[in-house]
Amino acid sequence: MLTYIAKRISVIFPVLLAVSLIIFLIMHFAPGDPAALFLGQMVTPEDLEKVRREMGLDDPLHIQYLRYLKDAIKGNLGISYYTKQSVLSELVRLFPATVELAVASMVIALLVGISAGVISALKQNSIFDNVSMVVALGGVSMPVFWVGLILMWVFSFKLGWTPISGRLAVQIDLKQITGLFVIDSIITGNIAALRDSLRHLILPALSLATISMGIIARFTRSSMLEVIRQDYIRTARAKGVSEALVIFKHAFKNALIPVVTVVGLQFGLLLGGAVVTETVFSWPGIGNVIIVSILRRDYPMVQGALLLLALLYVIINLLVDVSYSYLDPRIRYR
Amino acid sequence: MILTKVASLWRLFNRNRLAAAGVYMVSFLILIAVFAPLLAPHDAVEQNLSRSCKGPSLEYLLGTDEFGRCILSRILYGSRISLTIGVTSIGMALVVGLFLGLIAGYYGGIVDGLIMRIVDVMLAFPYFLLAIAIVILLGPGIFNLIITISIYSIPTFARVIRGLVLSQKQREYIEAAKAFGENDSNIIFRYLLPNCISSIIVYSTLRVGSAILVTSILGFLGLGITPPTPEWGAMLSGGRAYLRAAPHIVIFPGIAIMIAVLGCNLIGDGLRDVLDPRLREEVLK
Repeated sequence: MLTYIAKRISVIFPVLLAVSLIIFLIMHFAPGDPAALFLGQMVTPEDLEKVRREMGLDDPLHIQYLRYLKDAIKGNLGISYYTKQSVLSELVRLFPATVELAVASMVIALLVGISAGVISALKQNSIFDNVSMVVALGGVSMPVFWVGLILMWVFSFKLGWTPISGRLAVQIDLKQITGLFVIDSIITGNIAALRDSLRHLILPALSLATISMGIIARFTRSSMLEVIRQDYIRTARAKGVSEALVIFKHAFKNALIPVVTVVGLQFGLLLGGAVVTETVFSWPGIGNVIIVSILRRDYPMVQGALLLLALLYVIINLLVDVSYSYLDPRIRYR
Repeated sequence: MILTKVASLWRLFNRNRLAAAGVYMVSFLILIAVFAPLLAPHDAVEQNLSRSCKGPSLEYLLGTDEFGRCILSRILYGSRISLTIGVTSIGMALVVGLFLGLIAGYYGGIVDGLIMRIVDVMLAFPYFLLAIAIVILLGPGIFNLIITISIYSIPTFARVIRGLVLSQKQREYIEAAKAFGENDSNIIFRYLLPNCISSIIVYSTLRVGSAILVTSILGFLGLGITPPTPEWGAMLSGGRAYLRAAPHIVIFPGIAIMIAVLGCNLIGDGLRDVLDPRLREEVLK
């Protein structure tokens, strides 16, 4: 097991190195002179020249990349052209918002997806099965931003139940510990903040969850259908094990193993989808800042944010692989 | 001979009502795209602020947008953009991905290692973030978007096709072809490829759907097709600010996107059930 983990970890470093190179090159060749973007409008050619030299923009490309890499390893991702703050500190500030959104969506997608998948499999070809599979397919085909806007129209504008943007109403005071507002308000016992942060969270999380929900439901259904036809299920039934026990103890546990892999891949969808959902709901996270920064041509910010999301995705995939090999020991020997 | 085979596959396929629905949806969109100039009741780009944000009426069946443009006409013309980008970008990705997947899978060794490491790196970007990165470099516009989405789709094509080749490579018929002294290109194009082609068709159909989706996402984020070109995602983005008063600006283009993507997904699913049930797990990833 340990050698397997070590082997998997050793593979990520070259991947991340290459990812950083791609992102660096894209930002380097993106339109616009970094010095001019940094200084903004109304600058003298002398100032421009000075800043170019300070930023090391006249150095050969590989020197610039190595310097970027060295700085990045030390935790220095550069200075935002727009806010003139350190990119890393900005990202650290925004990160919990994205985590909260992604985790909440994942919880919703798992709860709904797995239960719909299991029920569909047990009642194969019933109305519930057909309806939920069509809905699941619809969920996969719907654009996330459209779902978000429709939910916003219904629940925020028509019913007035939920706010349209942000994470917490301004007038509510919350002591931040983890940066995850729901968790923080539970820890501090702040009921008003808990209610308000949940109200803010529910629509973005729900719209982000639609795609994953559909995929998880379809996957759980087919996995469950395969499992309940296995011999060991027939054996369990023949032994006289009660039906509930057969389903939950024997079938469900084994059916979930393949679902774990799709869950890992769903995190990629969620992190990417967060870019869209955060834009729709003005959710102050990493995804939102990527789009805002692209439009502002704040390339250091975009660069740092993309790198962070790629790093996160690679680590999550590693964790999923490891947990998968733990659940299904056959994997390790392949 | 081939015709009877296609006919029998079509019967099998048609038995699946969802797949047939997908065919109708996509054919409908293709017809709309082809005949857009004849079908569109109004000009798709002409602005008239005096009639902006009007709800559906007899004259403007789906209402007007924030600049007073006919939403129905814009959706009709938008189908040309989405279908063009979806089909051409996936076509290009397929050609490159096929080439990479075939040589990686068939030759193995260093070539395989190199290609697959590059694929790993491109797949380390979650979801469509690679497309966002490429679009920053290339800038907006239809042509650039086609390039962007095809580059974004290449790694998954390469990986899927390599997997298909690996699963076929050890079969007896390949061994037999080798024993007969067939050269590599003959084995690849006359033996391997025909045996992988049905899975490749299924996968490509599903990818066209996701290419259309990503096009609309980039349009919505303001990174894809730029106004005033009628692109579904960009239309939605424009209507966002008027959501409270004029939700129809957002609702209708979204339905158009959904029909296009759902249609491709249904056809892909149906084809898979007919042609290649094995691919199921691969595609869900």
